[in-house]
Amino acid sequence: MRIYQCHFCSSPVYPGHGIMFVRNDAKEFRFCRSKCHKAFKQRRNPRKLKWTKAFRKAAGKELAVDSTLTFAARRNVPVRYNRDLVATTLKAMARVEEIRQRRERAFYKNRMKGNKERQLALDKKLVESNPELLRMREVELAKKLAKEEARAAREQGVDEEEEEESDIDMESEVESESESEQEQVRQKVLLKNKKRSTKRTVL
Amino acid sequence: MGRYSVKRYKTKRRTRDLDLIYDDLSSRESIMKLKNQELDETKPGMGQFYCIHCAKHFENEHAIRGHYKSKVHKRRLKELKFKPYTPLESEAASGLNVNKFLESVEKAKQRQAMEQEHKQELTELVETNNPKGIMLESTSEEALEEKEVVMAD
Repeated sequence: MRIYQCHFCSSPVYPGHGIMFVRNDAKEFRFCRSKCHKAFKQRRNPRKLKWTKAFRKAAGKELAVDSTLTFAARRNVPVRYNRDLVATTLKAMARVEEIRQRRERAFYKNRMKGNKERQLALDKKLVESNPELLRMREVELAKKLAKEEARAAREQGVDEEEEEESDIDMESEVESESESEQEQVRQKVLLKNKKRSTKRTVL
Repeated sequence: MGRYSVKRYKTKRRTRDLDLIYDDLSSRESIMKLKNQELDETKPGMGQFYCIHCAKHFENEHAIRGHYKSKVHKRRLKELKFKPYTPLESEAASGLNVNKFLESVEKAKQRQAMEQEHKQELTELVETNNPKGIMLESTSEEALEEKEVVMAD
């Protein structure tokens, strides 16, 4: 059993999957799925399609040149079975894979390095070239401030009212010593409402 | 590549692939061979007016001259500037035969440098028709007659 590579996207093609095209110079082209086959028939260049491995390698998104990648190769030389050789090979495979993964991670980290600063610089540039964006923020802030002020003013007004009605509150508090604080607050609110309604009636 | 048409993309009508054309253009010998083709009745223009880049036969000198100036041909030239995609590259992308692929990339680089050096000479070689072809206009009838004679014999 052999696992082949898709000619287009380089993904593995397992037995019983995909389709093969044999060109008239006897070259084999295996495809993992109809998507790849169709793209091939339309003569798309895999190096220019972002979803293929070839693109990712050619564009420097992935580790392309590395000593750990050079072990897998077609050698066309039969090797006589040797128990020790198999054992050492298996060991080496695991080790190579481990090293490869570490290098790939390092490569990725290196590639992503400085992204934050770059993004920040881009944002700064954007703000500089479009000052209205900042003004929008200012407008927003001003609105927020105005809202808060209004709320504060209302609360102040309420406080004054509270001061007026403090003696009434005291009486009520004395009445409800055993009750929890929440209930007290609720009562206060109720009282306020009452007062307001009375005010309104007066007005 | 023009308008999308299913007929064009059937494998039955598949034309020569870019990597093969790239190989055709790789050496002077192969260019000369393709430019000096034998007379063939089944091909347009007796197989004497062949554009290597587009892998296409033309009827006469005038047609191929027009073709060299055309958009299709220029687009093809652009596509052939770089090393075309091969099965080797697809294998290398998944980590198989990487060394072999890197060697081929090196070779392609050397070739590109070579082509840059002899650019004018090569384009002349590719775009001028074979000595046979140039002679053909005067001797085509004779050649035909000769062939007919051979057939008759």
